This record gives sequence, C-alpha cells and structure tokens, in this order.
Amino acid sequence: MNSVVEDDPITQQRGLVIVADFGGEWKSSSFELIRYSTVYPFHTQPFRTVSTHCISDDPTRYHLIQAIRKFFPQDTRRRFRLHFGSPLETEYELRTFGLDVSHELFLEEDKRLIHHKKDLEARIEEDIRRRQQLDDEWRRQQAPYRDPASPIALFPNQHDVIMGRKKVVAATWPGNIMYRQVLLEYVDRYIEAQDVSSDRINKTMISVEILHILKSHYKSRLLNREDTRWVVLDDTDAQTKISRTLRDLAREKTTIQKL
Amino acid sequence: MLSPTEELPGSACFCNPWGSSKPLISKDVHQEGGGYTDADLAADMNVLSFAERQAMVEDIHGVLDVIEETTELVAQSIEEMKQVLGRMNSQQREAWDRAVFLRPALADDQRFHLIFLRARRFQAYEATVLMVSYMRVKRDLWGDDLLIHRITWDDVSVLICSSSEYDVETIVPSEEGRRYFRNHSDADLFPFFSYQRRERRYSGMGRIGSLKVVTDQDEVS
Repeated sequence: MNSVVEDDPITQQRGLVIVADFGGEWKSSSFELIRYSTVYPFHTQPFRTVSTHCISDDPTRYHLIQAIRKFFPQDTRRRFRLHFGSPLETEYELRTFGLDVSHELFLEEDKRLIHHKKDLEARIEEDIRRRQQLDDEWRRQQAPYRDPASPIALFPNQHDVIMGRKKVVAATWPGNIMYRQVLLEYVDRYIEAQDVSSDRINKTMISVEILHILKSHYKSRLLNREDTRWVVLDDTDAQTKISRTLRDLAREKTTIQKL
Repeated sequence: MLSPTEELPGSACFCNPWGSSKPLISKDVHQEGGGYTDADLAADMNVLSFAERQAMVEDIHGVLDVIEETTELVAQSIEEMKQVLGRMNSQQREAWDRAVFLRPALADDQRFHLIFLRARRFQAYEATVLMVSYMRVKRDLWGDDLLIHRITWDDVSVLICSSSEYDVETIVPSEEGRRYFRNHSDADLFPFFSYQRRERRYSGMGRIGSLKVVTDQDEVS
C-alpha cells in the first residue's frame, strides 16, 4: 500500500480518502489490529489522509468508535466521519461526499452489507498485477546494485557483510549473522590447523574456502563504508578480514575451553 | 436515516467481546457528553478560522488546490527539513540515521523527501516528524534489511486470521482525479496492519517480538 503511494505523485499531492466498513462479525483480528494501532499510530503513514469514512451497521461498534473518536487528535477528529445505517443509507451518505460505492455493494435478503464479489475479484487481481509490475520495475532498477560482481554498492543487500566497528549493526544485520555462523563452523578446523603446523598455507586455504562459499553460495560481498559510500572489498582484503575474524574466534574458543 | 439511539437493541447486545461480564458500552454513551456528537464536531470546526475551515471542507471533498511545486519551493523545503533533522536528538531519529547509514544517498533523495512534504502540504517541520516516524515504524515492522528498500509483494503475506478471503485494499481512481482508498476487509481499518512480514531466513530482525509471523505453510493450511 505504502509502496504504491510512493510511486504515485498524484495520490501524494491530493491525499487519500479512506472508506472502511466495520460491518460483519467480531473477530480476533479486529482486537489485534486495535492493539497494533496503539503501537503504530495511524499518522505515520506516508500520505495525507484527507478524510476517513467508517461504515457500520452494528450499534455496539458505532458507539465504541464514537467514544474512541473523542481521543483522536483534533485534526483527525474533524476529518473522521462515521456512517451508521443500512447499506443504502450509508451509500447515499457517502454520495454527499462525492464517493460512489454503489458498484461495490448490493443488498441480499438479509439486508446485510456485503461486497460485490465478482467485481471485487477482478479489481483485486488488477491491483495485485499493478503492484507486481511496480515491484518488477523497482527490481530492474536495483539489479545493478545487487549484482555480486559489481564493485559499486549503493547500499548493502541483506546477504552482504558489513565490516567496521559499528557493533550494533554487526549484531543485527542478517549478512553479519550469517557470516558469523559460517565462520563458527570453520573455527575447529582453524584451531586444528594452528595446532598441527605453523605452516600458513592450511589456514589460508580455510579462509579462501570461506570466501568462496560466501561469494558463490550466499552471493555475499564484504562491504566497508568510506565517507558516504560503500566499497566492496577485493579478494585479498576480504581474505585478510576473514583470517583476522577466524583468529579472534579461535582465541575466544580456546580461552573458554581452558576455563 | 436510521438513528442509532432509536434502534438500540437490548442490553444483551452490549456484551464485552473481550469476555468480561462488565458491559463494554455504557447506556449513557448516547446521552449528552457520552460520545462524539455533532455538537462536538461543530465545536471543533468553529475553532478554525473561516479560511482554514473552507480549506478543510474543500480538502475533504477533494477539490482543494494542489500546491505548485516550483524548484525553489522544493529546494527550500528540503533544506528546512534537514535543519529540523539536525535539531532532533539522536534517539528520535535513530531509524532515520540507520537508513542513511545503510543508504547514504537517501539523505539527499529529493523524491523521497517530496513524499513527506506532499503528505504535510510542504510544512517542513511536520513533514520531517512524519518522515522520522515512518522510518521508525518501518524499521519496527520490517527490520533493518528492508528499511531502505521498497516493500514488495513478495515481502508481505496477507493476514490469514481474517475470515474473508477478500481482505485486500485497493486504491480506486475516481472521475475527478481524486483517489480513494477502499478497505475490503470486515473490520480492518489500518492497511499497515493488514499485512505482516513474511518469515525470512534470519529471524530476530523485527524489533517487536510480539508480531505474529505468517509462514508459507500457514497460508497453505
């Protein structure tokens, strides 16, 4: 939803009118949504809500919303309209605001508000198709920056490893978590290589192997931030970094074992 | 028009859906001062000046003028936004700082800044607060790895606990160029919460642990 608005300057300029119906049965998701709405305020949406029209045919819900409305911010309160009544009545009320929803609703024998499913299905399919088109377009634009062979990195991908001293990032970034897991699998071999001989070739082979796995299997790059840009480390630098991290991990593990 | 006060059902209807025997809605709610009445709305509107009220009414009916975005206005507004950001403390703009750290070009991204300026009709301070809040919520919901990315259809999963299979919202263009947003779910008002993050390979990224993660298997079942 937000992604669609991001691509649509007309909607950004004019704002959105929200029409939501609060009909139907009570369900658990309603309470979950109320809980989330208290955590994530509605006003953090990246578009202007011109007005909100709520439809309800349930008196309990009507009064509940009316009571909650008192606690809305003043501007939201003014722009919030609650319509109570049968589908036909609410449809006429919405027409006074220039909103024609007649093609979405029809009356059944029990006079309940239900959706015009056939029309809705077609529009939902169209909506999903449009969103997927926008997604594909975005992916095409971003493709050069996601190529593991590219020396330029506009931003780190989730598989990329962020090098540097920013521990908070290193602890939470998915690429760094994966990087640490891969290294932990090789620590024992590295300790053995340290014990068996002082020849560096075995240890170097391990770091080369890890680098190969990171690049081929995980499509990862090792990134370093320089001023306002990301630089992809070349193989030599990357291998040095991996060796250094392995050495630290091996030292930690040996110390723990001794204790 | 059916008046809710005339057609009120019996007290049995006012059960507490959370399970308590205590009535959720007081019977006094429709009496004076109980709910948000038309008089309250009139009082709220009367606080505004004539021009403000006129602008709001025009806005609600979708006929308010679109602000002409001249190069000078855009440049000045973005500059003001940067000044406001500079005055905020680091705790407030933590998510924004993280986003800029991950994608330095974002700090000067005119297109991105314009989204928030348009949302607040070029009020720089309000637009900055909105931008910072938006990034915070986005980070909470989607984690660091998607903070600087577009949330695509593949990243979301339609909430399965909704009873209706038509719980999808659409933006409908109307004839006069105004867009209106139609939520097709039964009681789901907030589009932001109609979707939840699809389970990703590396868990623990979302900062709110209580978020329910919907997996592909759940969807199938």
